[in-house]
Amino acid sequence: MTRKGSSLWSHLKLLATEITTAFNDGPATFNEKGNIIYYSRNNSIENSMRNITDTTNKLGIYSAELIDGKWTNIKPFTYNNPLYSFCTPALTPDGGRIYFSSDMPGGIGGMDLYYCDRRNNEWDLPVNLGPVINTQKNESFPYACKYGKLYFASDGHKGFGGKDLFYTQEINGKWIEPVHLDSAINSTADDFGLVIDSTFENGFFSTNRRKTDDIFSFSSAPIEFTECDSIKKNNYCFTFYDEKQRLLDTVQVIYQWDFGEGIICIGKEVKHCFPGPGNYSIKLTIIDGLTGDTIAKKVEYKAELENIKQAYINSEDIGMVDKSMSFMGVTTDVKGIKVTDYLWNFGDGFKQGGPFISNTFKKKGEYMVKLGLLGEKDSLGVVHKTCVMKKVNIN
Amino acid sequence: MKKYALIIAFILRVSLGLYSQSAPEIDENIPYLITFGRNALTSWGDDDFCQIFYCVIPPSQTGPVYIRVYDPDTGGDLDEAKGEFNTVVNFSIFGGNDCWSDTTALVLSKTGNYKSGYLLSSKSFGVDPKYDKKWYSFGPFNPSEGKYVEKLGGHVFKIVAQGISGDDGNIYKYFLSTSPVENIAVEGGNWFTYKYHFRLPDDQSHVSQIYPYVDDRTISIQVSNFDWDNDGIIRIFSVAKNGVLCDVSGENNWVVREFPIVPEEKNSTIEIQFIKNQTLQVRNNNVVVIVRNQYGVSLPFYVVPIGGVPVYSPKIRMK
Repeated sequence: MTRKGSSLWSHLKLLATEITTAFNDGPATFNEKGNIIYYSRNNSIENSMRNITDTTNKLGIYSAELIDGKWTNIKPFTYNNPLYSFCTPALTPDGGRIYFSSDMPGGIGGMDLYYCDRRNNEWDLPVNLGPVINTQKNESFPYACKYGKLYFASDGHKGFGGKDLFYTQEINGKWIEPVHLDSAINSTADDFGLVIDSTFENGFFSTNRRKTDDIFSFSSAPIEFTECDSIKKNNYCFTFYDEKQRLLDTVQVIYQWDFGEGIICIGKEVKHCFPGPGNYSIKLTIIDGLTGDTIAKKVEYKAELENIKQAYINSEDIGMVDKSMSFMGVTTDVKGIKVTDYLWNFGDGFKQGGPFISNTFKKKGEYMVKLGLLGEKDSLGVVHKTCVMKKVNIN
Repeated sequence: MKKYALIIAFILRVSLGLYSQSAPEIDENIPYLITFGRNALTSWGDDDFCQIFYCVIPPSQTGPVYIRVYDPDTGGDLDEAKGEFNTVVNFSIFGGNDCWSDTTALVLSKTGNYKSGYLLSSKSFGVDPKYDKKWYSFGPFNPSEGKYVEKLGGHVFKIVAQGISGDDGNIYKYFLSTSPVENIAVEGGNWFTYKYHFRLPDDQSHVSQIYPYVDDRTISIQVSNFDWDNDGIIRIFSVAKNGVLCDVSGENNWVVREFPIVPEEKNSTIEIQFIKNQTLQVRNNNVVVIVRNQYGVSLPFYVVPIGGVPVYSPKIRMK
């Protein structure tokens, strides 16, 4: 089915007869080019008489290639097993990983979510997503987004009833607690099979809230950040002084500051620039200019330099019209927020992105590039937000 | 680090107490005390011709003690002659309950009852080669003859040196000894005075220092010096002062300069340092120094500084 205009759809058409069987076919996932399909279907399709109640005919994952307009080279997934179900495959946008659902042994219970990474043109062994994601009940219908978010359906996590839709994200090698999509999407019936566009503005999901399995569409309300802070520049340059000395009418005292690595500064007030954040030791020796005696010897001062707690946008300050510019959102210094979403605004509203993003400006001028960050929900269900902005000149 | 500093200070104090018991103390780098005859001119460096010192004998010292005076006579080439030597100086040792009291610091010289206490011994010296550059011993004194003062840590004796007649300068020093014939220090003993009359070294490279003790009631001090003859500079060191300049007196006059005392200086010793003029040599310079608190009460100068020599501790800040 294809869209006709903004709200109309053309008549239904069968995707391809060559990958259609008399049994269950789908759901399906495509690579970025759209010439490779992974889909689930019953393993046994030889019976001329279709028997959908045959529970021994398990689902498996199959792939096919589109060559000269025909889906050919149909292959079973490496880890298919006729004794267990392997279904609802979902490729990541780069094709490097495939998520799927299976009830094979070794899981947490029911249908669990697994993934396989692609290495040397082969799929690695399946990895269970673990107890944070999988429950004793069923997790299925994974959908992998461009920026790392993984949507899925579960009837094991706390929800409104039946299957509900959740998302999670792998941050620093760990899956965050699944986030329940709110009542705008989920219902007390089964809600599953969510797909969404790359900017997270429009999507579809399946639901039986009307007693039959239907596809619903949705549009995301644009995310706004009411306050965006300019990126503050980190300062690593400081003036050092002896607070007591400033109050004293003293002459002929030599202040010798040792900043390490052979850097010695002389003076009652000295300026020094450190290379960056870190822990530094400064040693002060005070010498009597009259007698040459040491008044204070290597008195230590410890300085702990930290970057300002903020997100940064790393990019060039100047770009050119019609030339792609790269931007990187740095969140290592954003404490207290486990960042789940990067939303970029290049003058046309916030749109979902990742830590790295490119943009091509079409007109000369001064742009205020904004990076909005959403954090994981805290125990009170509050999503923390923060936003920084940076001025970019396009010539 | 602070703990180590305290330990070092304690060791320093104990070691000074162990190996030296003279007034002036070696580390003060002051060669001698001085008292002029009553007919001298004050412009020669003595404002009242009277010097009052106190010694403290710790309770651990139960045997007799001797207060020894080096070169008690006024004659010979050590003392300061003004024409023919004609000066008599009296040394008197006082003990008993009244030799020291909490108000003693208000009595700095002949203007008050400076001879309070029980007179234990007294002797006047004129020109007498027998005592020229020799030690004379007062005593023996039983330590209990002094006044026991808990806060001073022992029995206190007072010694008053007073110019009786003449106009010459008697130059001398003391030693607190357990022996009448040699200088054997009283372990843990100390000397202090509320008004320090002393002779500066002639050598311009020598730096002299004295050590007033600041108690916890002090919020400011007034440093007074008399007849410094503009011989260089006077500076103050403490844990919070790293050589603060003090106003200096000229010929035959007093100069007073007030300094605030910060909390960390309370209950500690400060150091007043005398650095002679490096270009013009001033010989035989005698000076008198008093340090008073905000109430006008004099602070004691200990020859062995309480808590050790103060070490300036900078307060490093970055902005």
